[in-house]
Amino acid sequence: MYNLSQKLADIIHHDHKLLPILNRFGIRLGFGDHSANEVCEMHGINPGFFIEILNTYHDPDYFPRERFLDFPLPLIVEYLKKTHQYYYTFYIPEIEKQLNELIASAPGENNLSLLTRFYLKFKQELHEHLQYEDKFTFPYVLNLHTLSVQSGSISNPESLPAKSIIEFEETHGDVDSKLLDLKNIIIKYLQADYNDNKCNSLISTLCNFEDDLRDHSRIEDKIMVPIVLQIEKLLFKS
Amino acid sequence: MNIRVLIIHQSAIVAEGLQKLIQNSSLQLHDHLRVFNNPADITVHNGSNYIFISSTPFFQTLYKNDLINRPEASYRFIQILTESTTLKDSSGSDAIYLDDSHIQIIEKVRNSINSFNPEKSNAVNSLTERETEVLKLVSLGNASKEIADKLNISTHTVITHRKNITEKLGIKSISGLTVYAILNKIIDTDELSINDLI
Repeated sequence: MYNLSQKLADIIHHDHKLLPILNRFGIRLGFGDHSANEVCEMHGINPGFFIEILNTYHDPDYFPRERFLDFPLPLIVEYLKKTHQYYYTFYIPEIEKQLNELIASAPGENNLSLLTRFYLKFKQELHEHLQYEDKFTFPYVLNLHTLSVQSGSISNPESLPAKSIIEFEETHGDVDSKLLDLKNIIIKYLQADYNDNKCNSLISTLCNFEDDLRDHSRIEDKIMVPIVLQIEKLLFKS
Repeated sequence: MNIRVLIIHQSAIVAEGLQKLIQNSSLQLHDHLRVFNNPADITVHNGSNYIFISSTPFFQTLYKNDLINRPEASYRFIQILTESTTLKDSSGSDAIYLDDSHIQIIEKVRNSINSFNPEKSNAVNSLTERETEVLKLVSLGNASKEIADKLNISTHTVITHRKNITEKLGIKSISGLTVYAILNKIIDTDELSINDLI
């Protein structure tokens, strides 16, 4: 468990997988001996939120649910959006690139091109899922948040979609399980004549992406959805 | 095998004491051993095996919570009981008593770990002939109902086969199963366009 008085450099030395999280908060390297708290101050970041996100990512079993419930929804949504952006700009093209390199390392292996086909299908589904959240889920959540802050109740509930957050968030599992399938097919069943190092890089990227997606889903399902449900209950009661 | 042991108890002395005992044993759980004060903080990962060591009230919470109903993970439970509240049953493997010795406690946890049946998970998960037939039809895009009609079995049986196939292969999605079927020449792609299948 990390705390705000620790040097940010020490935290990154201890777990370098946290680097992408820093980027999502707009923090770049070169933080010298500054503590996590100081770095947050410099960047205008909510330090409590920052450290909880780091700890949640670092330790999948750590989940400070009560503390998360205190953070405003826009902060959580902003973080989730940044995460999406990171998937679009890094993981999705990176995996495709590594997959293509792996295939190029073994010319004439039909088995490997099968994986690309599968990956493209996964990518398409992931894109649809992320875009749906960006276009519909997050605006809905933010809209609900604004309404609840303004009035505590809605005068004309008809203005909101006749949907609950539950319906918005139905499709997670499929995307996660496809990624797991891809990893499993490569690890357990691949027999083509491939380049070892390229395959290792790909698997390592897939594993990192899987961890990231899992953390992302956890924040959506265990944090965002419960808060939204609470607000829905309050607003629609009146 | 991926086994996680979670200790959930309202008493810090009991929970952390138990954690220390297990840490100092030969069980080698490392960071797969966790202590929780609140069952709500627990998250369950797909494909893992869990042993919950917990007091009775928390069991009820765990049962109510949908997290332990997830089919992707499997579970064992050990209750922490004070001797006075319950009669010891002779096997004693599903409960740890506060007056148990160090050795007894470790033995109980070890039995629970072994009960995840290492023989099964180490075995070569080859599909039966029937499962291969079902896999073939799934890969070719048939729904369970269609498969049931073609093989002259009930839809329920098809669903059971599909569950077993996914469990054996570790592949859940239809397109993933199709990739497996092609790689293992269960379906012949010469006559089919891969693009139509995946």
